[in-house]
Amino acid sequence: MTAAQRAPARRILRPQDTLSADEAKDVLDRLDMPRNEAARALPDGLVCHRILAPASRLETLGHGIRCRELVLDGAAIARIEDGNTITYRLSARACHRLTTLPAGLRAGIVDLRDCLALETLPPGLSPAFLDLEGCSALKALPDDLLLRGGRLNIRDCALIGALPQRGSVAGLDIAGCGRIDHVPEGFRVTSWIDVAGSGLTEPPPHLPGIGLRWRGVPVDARIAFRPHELGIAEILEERNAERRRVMLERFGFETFMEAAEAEELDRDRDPGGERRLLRVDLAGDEPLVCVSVGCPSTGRRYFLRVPPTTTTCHQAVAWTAGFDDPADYAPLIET
Amino acid sequence: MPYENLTTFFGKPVEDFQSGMEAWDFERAVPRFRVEYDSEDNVPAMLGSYAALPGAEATDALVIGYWQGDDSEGTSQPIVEALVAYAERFPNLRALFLGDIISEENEISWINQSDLSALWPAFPHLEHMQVRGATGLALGRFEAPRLTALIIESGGLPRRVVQEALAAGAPELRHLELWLGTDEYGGDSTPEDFADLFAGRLFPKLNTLALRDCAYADDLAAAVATAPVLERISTLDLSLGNLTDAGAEALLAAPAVAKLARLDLHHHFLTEATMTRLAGLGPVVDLSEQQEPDEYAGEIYRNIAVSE
Repeated sequence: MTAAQRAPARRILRPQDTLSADEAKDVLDRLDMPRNEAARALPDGLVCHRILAPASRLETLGHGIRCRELVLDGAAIARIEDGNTITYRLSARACHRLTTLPAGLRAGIVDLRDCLALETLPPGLSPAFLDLEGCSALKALPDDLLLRGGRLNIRDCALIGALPQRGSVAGLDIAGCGRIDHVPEGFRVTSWIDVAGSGLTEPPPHLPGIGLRWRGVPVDARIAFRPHELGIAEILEERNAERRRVMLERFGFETFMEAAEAEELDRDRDPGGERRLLRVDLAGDEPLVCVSVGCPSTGRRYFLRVPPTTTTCHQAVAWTAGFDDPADYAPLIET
Repeated sequence: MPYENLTTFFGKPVEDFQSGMEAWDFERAVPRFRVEYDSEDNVPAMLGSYAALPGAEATDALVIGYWQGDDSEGTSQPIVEALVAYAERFPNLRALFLGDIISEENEISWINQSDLSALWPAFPHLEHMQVRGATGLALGRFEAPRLTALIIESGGLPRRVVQEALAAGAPELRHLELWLGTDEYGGDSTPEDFADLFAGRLFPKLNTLALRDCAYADDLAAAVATAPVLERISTLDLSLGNLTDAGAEALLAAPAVAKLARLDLHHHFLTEATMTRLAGLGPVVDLSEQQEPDEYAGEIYRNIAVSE
């Protein structure tokens, strides 16, 4: 190969070092800041291909910084100001103080998972991949958000009420987004939607045959939206254990136990009324053992899955309360 | 498990792209992106450097090699994301090999793949897609209007991935190659999973059907021998599996098998007598790499070629 080679300029910032303005004159290939405690910002105008500052004490990025990749996972960063350029990837997972991102952020990959203080996103975002899972304070997606073909993950962003009107992704995760009840016609999804706990009640009509997932497990439209149509035999015969667990959860343990003629392992009474411990054998998986209990306050009945080794109702309820040894579990009063 | 890295791909020599290279002869060579075990480089950053080169839009083929470095958990997801994020720099990409990784670098079942859904719409001109390793692999539901070859090499191909491959919107597909592997490494497909394919309802232009490295090769041979799809393909490849005389009898009895141009059965457990009959059947038959069963504690084991 007739390629010119040069030693890429790399700079490691030791724990007590900061980067001087002089050092920002040359283009850096990579800046590492392992356990750095001194730097609160980077020198204005720094050009560096990869800035790797996870868990750093950076509070703001600086001004006029240009990079391809910026990694700030777990950093103290609160603001990335307008005028900073990140062209390829911004990863700022679990930056719990982060509130401000720059307008016109061009990065193709934007990962802001678990940024708990983030309430809004800037205008001009057009990434391929946007991950906002667990950004529980985020109120809405920007009106002009244009996704370019990758993935949108807003799992457990419970405040968000609507998806973008346009754009395209291969995968869409809206699990736990109870307020999202439709996918706009102008928003294209090519491969799959994770719909667990979302407001969707049917597959989007404009996306015929789209793959459905339930918290990561591929499912079909009946499991996702019409679990009452499932048959006991097909649940028992399902070979994929993950999928069968979702089928059971969707169908309802109680209905299933009744219909599958579960074996009763134990029966007794507590302040909530009668308790029953039931078991159904599952091919290729551990047996399904559930305890049926009543709530002494509300009178509602609950059906809880417990470890297959459980043999008594007391042991089962103790396990659900966090006790491995039932002898330790002697509630004075139940509420 | 393949023991040699690629030397050519998509008709060109493969050469490693190194960090810091400031030029590339796009016409001459296909770049491979890979890291050493203890390298500080990473493949997405190398892709970024390559994508930034003037002329990178001429790229028609890319090879991704060993990416895990010192992180044995590392999946192909960051690479998929990088490829999609840089897709505008590769508007002419026609061939992609994701996982040119040999056993010396990482065993096939330890290669952590990921969800490839986003690659398909990002690269609508893909003709050749090759993936090694099926752990964590998902193809998604996809349209690949120009795809002519789909190859997934594994030591255990999950049924779910088989279903995704067979559901592909790939009207131009000519070469379908799936390494099915063993259930010890996640290969839980059965002959029934191929019912639509065998009935001839999928891929109208299919020419080569390769269902390799199969741990139920006799059942598969019996199911495919009478399949309508054989009427319109020329090559059937059941190599690398655990085929015995029982499966071979089904092939020998099927008129459509005799009309094939090529039948690849290499790595098999056939007897000499059956091999002689197959050799005279009609097609060019590859019967190399005859295997002997292993016996251990009174049990007979017929191992497929690639599992761990």
